[in-house]
Amino acid sequence: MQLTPLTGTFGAEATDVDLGAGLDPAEVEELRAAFHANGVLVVRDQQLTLEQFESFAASLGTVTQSPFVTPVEGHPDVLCVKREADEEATAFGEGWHSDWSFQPAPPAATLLYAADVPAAGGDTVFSSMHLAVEALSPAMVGMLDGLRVTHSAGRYFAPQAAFAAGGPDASMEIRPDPCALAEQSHPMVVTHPVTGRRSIFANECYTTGIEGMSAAESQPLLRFVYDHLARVAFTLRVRWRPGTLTMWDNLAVQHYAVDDYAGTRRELYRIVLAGEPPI
Amino acid sequence: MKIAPLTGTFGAEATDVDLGAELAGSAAAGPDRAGTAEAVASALAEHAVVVFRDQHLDIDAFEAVAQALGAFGDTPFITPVEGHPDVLRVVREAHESGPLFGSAWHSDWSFQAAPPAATLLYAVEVPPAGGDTAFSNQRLAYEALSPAMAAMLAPLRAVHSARHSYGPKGTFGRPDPDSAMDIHGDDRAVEERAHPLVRTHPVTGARLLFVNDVYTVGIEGMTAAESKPLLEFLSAHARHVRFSARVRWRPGTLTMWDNRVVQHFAVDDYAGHRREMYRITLAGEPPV
Repeated sequence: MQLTPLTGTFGAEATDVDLGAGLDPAEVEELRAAFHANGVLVVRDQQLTLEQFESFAASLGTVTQSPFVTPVEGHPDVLCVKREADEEATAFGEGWHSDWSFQPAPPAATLLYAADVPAAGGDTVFSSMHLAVEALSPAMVGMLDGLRVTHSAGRYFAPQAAFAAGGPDASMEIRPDPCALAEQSHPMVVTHPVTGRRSIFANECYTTGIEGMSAAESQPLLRFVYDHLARVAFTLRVRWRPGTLTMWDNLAVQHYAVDDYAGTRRELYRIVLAGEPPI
Repeated sequence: MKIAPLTGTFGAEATDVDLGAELAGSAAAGPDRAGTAEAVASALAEHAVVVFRDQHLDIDAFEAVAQALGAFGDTPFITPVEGHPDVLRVVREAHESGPLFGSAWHSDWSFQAAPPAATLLYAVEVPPAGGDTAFSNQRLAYEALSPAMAAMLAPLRAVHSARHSYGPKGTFGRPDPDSAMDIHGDDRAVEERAHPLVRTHPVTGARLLFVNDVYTVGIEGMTAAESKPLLEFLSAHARHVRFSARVRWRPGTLTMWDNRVVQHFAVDDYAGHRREMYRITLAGEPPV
């Protein structure tokens, strides 16, 4: 496996590796180390069946099911992230977020495999939550360190929420549920369980407030945090090709799916690996 | 020349074109030269950022390519390449640790009475990874505003100045003996100039947001307390990721951008590596 950095700070592209052929334990460890060192790992030119994709994911961690979205038939752990060319639905993932950050134990990692992508457009942009915290003043980190933020899926998956209105033609079957309104509290600043690096664990899609504060109090601070996290200096951008598998560390990066491919079809498959409660 | 889009909205990569041979070489004359220049100008008008890979240009050829597209713009505050008064060498040596030239959102020289229409940046040496340039499209940013916000902004004029960069207390206000670039602010750096906050592109007619973090210092007629919230909103809006494209350089990459349509940001993530580019700006017109 050859690794090439994607930027001067984080992210790498892996070549000379065939995930479908199955990796031996040493190769899995090598890949895991590269993954944790880089936060985002882009593996090009794979040819995976869903079974091979599942089996590769299972070699890295515990595959876990996702809420609110109907999985691929016969593959309860796999979501199909898809938009047809003629669809006008809200693009899934357009907005800065860590996957399922509203869960008590959000996913440790997400694997996304591209089956069909536009010739141009539909990129995914990643922002390093490590670089963001490391660029703050000690006073600001000290202030944020004691705070807890609340997360909820309500804005997207509650009845009458953004994705609930997708309509019967939407190619992703969303199952809106009142339980999406439940709030989950996590520390604002968390420590990565493997690398020990710190992250700002708040995101514009799912974070709803700062525990104990009024909206008037928390809003300016959260606005600063979101704008800070989205600074281009902390980002990298992945352009997909069919056969690209990108895996990211949900406690190291946030991501944003750019919605600039109206009129073109895009189809990817997604698996998440179980994580632990962030501390 | 073949054109492939970089994103679903703007930016393109041009291949199958040798700009040195077609625009600068001794063979470059007559209708072929004019045809290539027209194709490049039209790609730039359509895509706002055009990336030409694998070019082979010396400084003379780079100048000739630029001159085929327009007249040179004025370049203040930085000592140009000796014998080439319109070419800047944008360089950082591996050992340097000072502020990086261009590492904040800006449109080149927006404080000038007639800011550049376009900028050409040619990579001679780049780090193995890092040193990308990000672009943000200000036509898309304008078009994403609500009608009420667009109407409110329409009559406003933004004040631009080079003072935060090249004024006595600016980022590059004091000569840095360690810097490979000779940057020297002068009295012109504290001058202020107002431009329409929303301008109209002279070629395409598109409406463009025209404010940037580096050079915009206020809104004409307003106090700082009044303009600050609005400028902060515009700053965050103008650089939103959904209006952006990102260029990774290789030696021999020439990127041209329409300086009226896009802002750009040089990512500072290659400490310990050398990066050397040549830059030419093309003369623009007073924004209206």
